[in-house]
Amino acid sequence: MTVFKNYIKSLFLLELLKGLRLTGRYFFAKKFTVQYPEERAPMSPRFRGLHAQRRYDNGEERCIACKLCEATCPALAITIDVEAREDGSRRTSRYDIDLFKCIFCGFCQESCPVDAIVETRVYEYAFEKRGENIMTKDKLLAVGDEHESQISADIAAQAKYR
Amino acid sequence: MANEVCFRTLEYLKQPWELEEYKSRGGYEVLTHILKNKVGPSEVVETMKASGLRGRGGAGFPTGLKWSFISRNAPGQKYVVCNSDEGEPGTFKDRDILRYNPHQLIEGMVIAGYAIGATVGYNYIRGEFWEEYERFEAALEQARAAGFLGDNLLGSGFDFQLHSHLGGGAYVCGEETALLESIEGKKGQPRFKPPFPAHFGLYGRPTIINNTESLSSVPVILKEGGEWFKELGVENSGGSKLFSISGNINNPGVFEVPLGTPFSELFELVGGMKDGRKLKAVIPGGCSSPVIPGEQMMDLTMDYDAIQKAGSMLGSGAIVIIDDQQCMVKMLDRMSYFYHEESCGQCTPCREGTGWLWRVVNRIENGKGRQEDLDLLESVCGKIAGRTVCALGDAAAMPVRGMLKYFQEEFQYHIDHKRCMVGAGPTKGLG
Amino acid sequence: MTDELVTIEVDGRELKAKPGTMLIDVTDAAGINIPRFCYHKKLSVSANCRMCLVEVEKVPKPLPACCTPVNEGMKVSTRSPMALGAQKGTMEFLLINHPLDCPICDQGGECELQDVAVGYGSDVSRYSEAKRVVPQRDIGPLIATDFTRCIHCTRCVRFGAEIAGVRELGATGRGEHMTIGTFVEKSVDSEMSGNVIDLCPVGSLTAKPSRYKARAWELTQHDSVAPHDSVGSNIHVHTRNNRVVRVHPKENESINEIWLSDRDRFSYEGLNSEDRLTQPMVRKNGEWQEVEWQEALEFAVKGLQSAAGSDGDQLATLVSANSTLEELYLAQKLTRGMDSGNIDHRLRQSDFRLDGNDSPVPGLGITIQGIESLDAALLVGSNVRKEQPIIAHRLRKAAKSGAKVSFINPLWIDLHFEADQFVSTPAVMVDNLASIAKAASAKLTGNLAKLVKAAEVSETAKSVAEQLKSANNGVIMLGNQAAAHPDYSLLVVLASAIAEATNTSLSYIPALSNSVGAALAGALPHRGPAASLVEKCGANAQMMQSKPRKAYLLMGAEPGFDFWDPSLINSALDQAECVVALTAYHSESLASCADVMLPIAGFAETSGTLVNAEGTWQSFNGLVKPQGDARPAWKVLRVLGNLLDIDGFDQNSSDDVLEELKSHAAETAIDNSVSTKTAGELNSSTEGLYRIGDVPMYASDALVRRASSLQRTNSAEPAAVRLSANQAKSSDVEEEETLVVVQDGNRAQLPLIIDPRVPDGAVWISSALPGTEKLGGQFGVVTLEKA
Repeated sequence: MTVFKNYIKSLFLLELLKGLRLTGRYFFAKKFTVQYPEERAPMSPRFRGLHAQRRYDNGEERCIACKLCEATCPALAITIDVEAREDGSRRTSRYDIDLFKCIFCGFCQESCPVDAIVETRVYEYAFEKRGENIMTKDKLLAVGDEHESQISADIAAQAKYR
Repeated sequence: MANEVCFRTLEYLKQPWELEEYKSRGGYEVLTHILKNKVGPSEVVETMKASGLRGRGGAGFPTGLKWSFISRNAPGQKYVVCNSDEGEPGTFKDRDILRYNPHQLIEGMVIAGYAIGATVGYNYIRGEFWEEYERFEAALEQARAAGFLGDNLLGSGFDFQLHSHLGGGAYVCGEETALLESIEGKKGQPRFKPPFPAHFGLYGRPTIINNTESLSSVPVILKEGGEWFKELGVENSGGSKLFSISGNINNPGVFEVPLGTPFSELFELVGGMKDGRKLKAVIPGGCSSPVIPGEQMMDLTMDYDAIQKAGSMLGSGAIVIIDDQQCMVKMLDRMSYFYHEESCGQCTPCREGTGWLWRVVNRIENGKGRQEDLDLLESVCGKIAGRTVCALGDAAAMPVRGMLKYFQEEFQYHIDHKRCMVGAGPTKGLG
Repeated sequence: MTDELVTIEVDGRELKAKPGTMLIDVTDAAGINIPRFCYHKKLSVSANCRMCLVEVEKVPKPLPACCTPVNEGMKVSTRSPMALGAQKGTMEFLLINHPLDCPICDQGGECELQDVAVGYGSDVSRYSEAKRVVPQRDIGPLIATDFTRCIHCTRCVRFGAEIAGVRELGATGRGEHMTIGTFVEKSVDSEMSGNVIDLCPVGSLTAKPSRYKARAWELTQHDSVAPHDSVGSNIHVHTRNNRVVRVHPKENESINEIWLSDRDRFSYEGLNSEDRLTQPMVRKNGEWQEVEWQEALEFAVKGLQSAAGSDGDQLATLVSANSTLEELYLAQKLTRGMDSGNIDHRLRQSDFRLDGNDSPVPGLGITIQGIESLDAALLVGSNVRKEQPIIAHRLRKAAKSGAKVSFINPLWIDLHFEADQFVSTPAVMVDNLASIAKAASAKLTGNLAKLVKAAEVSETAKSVAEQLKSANNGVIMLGNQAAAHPDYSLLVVLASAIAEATNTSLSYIPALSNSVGAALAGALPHRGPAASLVEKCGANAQMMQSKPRKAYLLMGAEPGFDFWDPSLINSALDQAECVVALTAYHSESLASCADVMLPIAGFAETSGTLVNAEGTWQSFNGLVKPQGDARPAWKVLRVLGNLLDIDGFDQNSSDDVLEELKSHAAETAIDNSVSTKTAGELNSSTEGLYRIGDVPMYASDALVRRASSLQRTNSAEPAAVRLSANQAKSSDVEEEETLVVVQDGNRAQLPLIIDPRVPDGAVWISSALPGTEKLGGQFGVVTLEKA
């Protein structure tokens, strides 16, 4: 009996048709494949990508060199040196994040009392040479300048949860 | 019955501040008697104790008891200090004593010095009392010339030098230890107690500090006897008292009446309210005492116990009468600002708390109050009162609490409607 | 005094205490924590912060624990609702006007307010009005201020009045407007001013030199010993990334209590000076070249051997007494190993006539703490307040509790306690002391007996002698200016005789951090390790200079700045064939005369031992790596010893060196005995204008001379000629005029300052300052010419 059933099934390609039904359903359904890089997946405002340092509207860097991010960093990826700037204000003379060490936990952003160090939505970056993995202060500020509108929108979106 | 003690000479004399006129009404007789007959100092102190005189500066500590803390025979210098730094808003009685009856004060101070064995006295006069200072200086000169001050008074072998010291205009120097610091030439900041001045006072020596009115009462008490003085007043509040009465009343001024006089009588004495206004509330003992509603006040007698029972203090006897046109928020704003400005800054609760109180009251007054402000005021008061070095902190907290207790609806109205409950426009302040 | 204890109950625990003790002291001793800001165990109680309020049974109001004396049966709760409510209330008040700038505050992480706020503060502020802001104030190069953060505890004010003895900070204004400040924008100049940084519970007063340099949590704390004065203050050195970031005092009640002088606190800046020598250098054909150690050492050895190889007496070793015990021991061993006895650390002494009869191990002779219990002290030639601030602080305590202190000095000095000062020209100082000796009927012989006999007994001399005689616990102290005096030997013998006659003790205040250690290590021409007299006495510092040798070994000393007579040492070094200098710094004055400069480790970079004035041995470790190629001096000496083929240079650590020295000198104590009753003729004279050359506080050694912040203080005055108004008139010179000073043919141009502290007949020209490095001895006749 079983042998006969199987014979019928294979004679009329029933299994094939069953399989093709699924294929057909997805063939006509709305596609969800994202055509990266032409297309992008949606991102949360809490996405923790490449770091950036922000400025105030008047162009003044936000970072006050309090070193809380350095202290809180579980991967010891941040190195900061401090000096008094000419006007006497406390500023970093060096602010390095080693992206090889960074685990993108976001603690630096959490600990920052002035919202200076943030993790942006940028995740497309690559290094070609040793040393490029160090995000210096200038690089961080440049990232911040480039993405400021997105960063501030993200921070505003999360403000009520913090 | 009025004007029996500090003002007893006034109504008979044209220029009662002159030595000759003062003497003509029995002035310096008591001192002469004590010095000539070598009355025992302990006898003087006992009479003072029997009189039931309580310190007239505000705290109401029995004067005789205070004197008895100092042993007359203890070696070394001792001092008598008179506190004429009358800074309490609403109080202006000591000014009248200095102005009209300085010799009685001098006589009282010399007797006090005799009683405790002090040979030097200081009268600390409020910085703004320039005229009174000059008049007191003139009286000192007269007394020195007549031999009531200086070395070997009236041949008794007792020396007493008296100096007046003009303050720098700080309310906190009315606090006895801040006053001592100020005389010593330091910044006027209260010391923490104990030790009390009776053990560690001026320049570290035993010192008694009494109010002008208390010391001025001394000659009369010794003349008429402690019992006589005690019977002027009522139980636990002996003698008569000067009341500085202000407000929108017909006849404001200083009145000497026996303690225990009903407030309603006093109210009649000052001629009632002006311009048909109505009595709304009374501050019975100077700005730092909690306010009492008018109708409750009309049933009270003016003595230490009765006022205390009503939840306030007799204090320095500065009665501020508030009429129905006054906004209590505005009033409290002024009072809180006063304490904020006059805090010496030494201890934390008063330095920071008085400013906070004023800012909150001020924002209510200016229509920026929030609902939680009333609780905040109460809470801040609770954190100041009883936790400061001196009583200024309590003095700043008490009026706020008093106002909130009886007139909360006015504050609530300010918060809800951003304007005054009474009158339409800005109101006048203290009378 | 009854010693009966009362029993009190705190939070259910029974505690015993002396009646009258303040509650907070009792709870502190029992380990019960009560929060506080204004209370400090070394300062008077002011009870103004109200943070330590606690509940006491039967008292309706909370009481401040800092000014509530304990009574029998008292029941206290420190954590009851009433107590906690009061503490939290105070905390809220303190925070309403305190800025939220912890992230940029140097105190952040070690702030008492932060700590207490975690326990007693609320997470939300109910205060929404504007906070108080106080304008910035500059109070000098050492202390950074931010009075907006002030919580008005007045610890700094009380420190000035009670400890430093100068009221430099005060609280002005009333209520909320009360601020801490100096009197009319003056700077804070006390030699102990840095302590207010430690006292300040918040970030109002922080250290300017280490401002923004590190957060508290990044620092590693090491124990060490301060390297300048002879107190040997215990310190905590804080390092980060192999650099010294700051220095704090370490509590040691028997030495520095909890205080530290500014010199000890801020001198670390000199470590990172640009002057640091980081590579060995040799002079080849007159040109300085940086070379490797191997080459430099060989060069040095060759130089030393060729110059002094055959004749040991041709080697002269001059060492700074700021070197460690190990270094000094190896230096003398090396010198003696080369068959030379010429080693000395007494670079600022000129009168060596007492050598042999001198005190074997000169030191305080009493403990530093013991100074407090003196009831009479006579100080000869000492500006103790600037030279040894901690000793001065102890003396001040003694004076405050009734000790009679007098000074015989060549200059009027600024003191922070009551003392009699007898000021005269150097020659008359000897007469003054002789006058006291006569009044005290001191026994002397020979020359000095004549001098004393000729002395006139003045009233003041009588009173000083009387004070010393009637004292149970009196001392005669010889200070740094006495040691530099041309008649030091006379002063010592006179002082020793007076001490004997008045039953007081003779005491020396050693100048440098290891002066006592140098005597123990044997860095003396006439005494070997443990101060034993040697058979073959070498040349002393003076002779080594006046009779130039062929080879010189210098350690830690700069010719222009660390010697009694810069011109003399310079000419001696110029004539030498080989000068080997072990130095941490590349200085002009060395580069001009040395042939090899070997970079040695500075303070905190080497391990070692210092022996302080009272004779306490204090060892410490190297805390940071020496800069560049510098090496600890003991290692350099050890290798030099090997290369010179001297036996006994096989130690592997500084501990080995110390053990070796200890086998000689561990039992050797301070010994101030003087074994003679006479001395030579008077060197100093009253004729002509006599120079008084002190060593200013911030010029005392190479490290502090390069501490940039200290050098910017008002106390670091540039070199000048100082005369009294009278003397200026008779010398016909005027204020601010530039004068040419001529001393032994050496000339220097310096400005004139009229200074009432100088006695007539004398001229005060400090030594060890730029501008004086070519002049002659610290004391001596000078002439002034117009420029």
